[in-house]
Amino acid sequence: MSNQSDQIEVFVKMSAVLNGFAPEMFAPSVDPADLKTVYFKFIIGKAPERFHELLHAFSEMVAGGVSPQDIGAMLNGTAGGLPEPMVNLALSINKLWYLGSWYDPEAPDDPTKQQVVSDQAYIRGLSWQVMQSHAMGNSPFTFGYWAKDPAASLALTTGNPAATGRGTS
Amino acid sequence: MMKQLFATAIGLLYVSAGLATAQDASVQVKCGSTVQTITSGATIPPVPDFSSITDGDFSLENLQCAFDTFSWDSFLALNHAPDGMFGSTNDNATVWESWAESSDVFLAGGADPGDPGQVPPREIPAECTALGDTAGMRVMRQIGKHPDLLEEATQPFNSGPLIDTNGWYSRFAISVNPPMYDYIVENQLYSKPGQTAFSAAGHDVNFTCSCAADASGDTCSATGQQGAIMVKAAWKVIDGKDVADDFHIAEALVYTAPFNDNPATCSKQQMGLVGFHIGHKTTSDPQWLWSTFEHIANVPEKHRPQTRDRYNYYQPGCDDCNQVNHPPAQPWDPHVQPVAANIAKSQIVREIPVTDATVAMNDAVAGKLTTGTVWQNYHLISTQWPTKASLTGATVPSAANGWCTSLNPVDPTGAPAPTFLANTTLESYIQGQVPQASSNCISCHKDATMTNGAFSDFTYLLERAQGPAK
Repeated sequence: MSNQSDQIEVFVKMSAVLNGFAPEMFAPSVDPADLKTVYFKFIIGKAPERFHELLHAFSEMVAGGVSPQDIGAMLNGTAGGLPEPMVNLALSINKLWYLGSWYDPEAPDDPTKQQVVSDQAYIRGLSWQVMQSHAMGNSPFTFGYWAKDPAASLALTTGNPAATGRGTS
Repeated sequence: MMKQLFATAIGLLYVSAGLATAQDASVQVKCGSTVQTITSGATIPPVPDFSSITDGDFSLENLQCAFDTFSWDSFLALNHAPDGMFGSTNDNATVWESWAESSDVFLAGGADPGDPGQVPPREIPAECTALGDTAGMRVMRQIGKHPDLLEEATQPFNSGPLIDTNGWYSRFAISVNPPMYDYIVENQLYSKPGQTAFSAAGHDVNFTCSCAADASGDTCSATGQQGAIMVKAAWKVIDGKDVADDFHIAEALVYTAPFNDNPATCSKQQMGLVGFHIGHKTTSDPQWLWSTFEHIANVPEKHRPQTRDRYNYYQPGCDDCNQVNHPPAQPWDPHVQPVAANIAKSQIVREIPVTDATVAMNDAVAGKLTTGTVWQNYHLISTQWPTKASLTGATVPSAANGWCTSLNPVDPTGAPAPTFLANTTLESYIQGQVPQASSNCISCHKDATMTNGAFSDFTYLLERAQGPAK
């Protein structure tokens, strides 16, 4: 792959397959928080070689005409095709988007190896949007929102028309 | 001499009968990949103009440039005199100072401030009228009826008073433009009972938004409209080594409410403008656009060299000064001032530097549009705007009354950029980049309510409404 911006673009596309959100919802073109770059650099710092291998594998699958659903199944390990360390890295990346925390791919269940990447990462975790809620102590909603129904459907929240919250099987 | 300065500095200059009016003088400055044209005219721009982005690169940087130009155009228009003059005698009267102030609108007992379309009469405390001729003078108030109440003399979150290097308490005031005043009055939002009735009728507060003229009528009327604008100003007492000609000046009645065992007092003071917020609701920005300006001698920046021997709110090389960006130690007693001890004064530094692009824009304005006037001593800090205001594009004002809102349901704050923004005179002690703790205009104002807890459309002013005396 060529320059960093190209790699980040691939990273965003792969992340969309993993997390089910439309890219514009978690990595908008005008993005003051710019978590895609923050996360990209963070992962490079943690697992540079394996990360590049994962991005390369994703690009190869896309170029080979593999459907997003099948790519997602391979990345999250429900289908074969990728070595376990690469799957673990993909799962850590997905957790990163949802929780704003990094789970060591080599020891995902070890709480001593978990790390909140930043305050912005924490408050912008996608899990809050899926729950139509907000991080504790940091609500984007206007005062009194708790007395009203959630304003957005899951499809609206994720930017993904297929998102229903009822799973795919 | 002044005319010569203007004639040299400003291309389109109109000089008549000793009065100088800069009519749509402009300056261009490169910003990002755009060339911004900043105009010094008497018209407040209704919306930002993105036509400067000619290469299709609607990046954060280029959009910020357009919003900053909007801020400068707004600042220059608001600081023209109501008759269109600008800097005619170094300083000038301003448009926004002719607007209603919050203390003119939210009266004791929830009284009706006056008809829409009119400027309400100004109530002058008895302690001030006792000083003699007060015609045309502004009243700058001090702490309210509760000793530690958030009022216009203190800062957000009760974080403390701002005390300048001469030892004087700074003063604050909020003004609203006629469309905003009219909305408040027409809906009786100036009183607690009025607010209760408004909510009971099923209404949500939804101020008029500005929009540009649009012949097609799909976003606004053919003539456009001016929506709600509010201005919050910070002032310091001119004293000591302060040079009055360096400031926009108001000869003001400085009122200090009863406090502890001290009765109310009032004195005539020469006040200099040091901070200036503009909040402007537009059709594309229902979270409002937030522009903030300061006097250039307020404070040094944390990561830039100090360039002055003295600042309005910082003493260089001071060993016995207060901790930087911490409120002065209590007790705060505005009846005892100027304070003498340095530990009791504010010692303020800007935490987040003004960007290089904004600095270049400020230099361009000072080098051409405001040269030779007091306004050359004011600079833009930044403009906060929602990057994703709604999910459906610009809001459509009601044909009946121009009200509009359509917040992003996923993130009603619209993901503001920059994420944090502080004016060192208005958010002195909450600068920084910590979510929910550091100053962020939109994220803070989205919590604003009326006295009944209903959302008040990004203004805290409606909290000031009072009810009948019990």
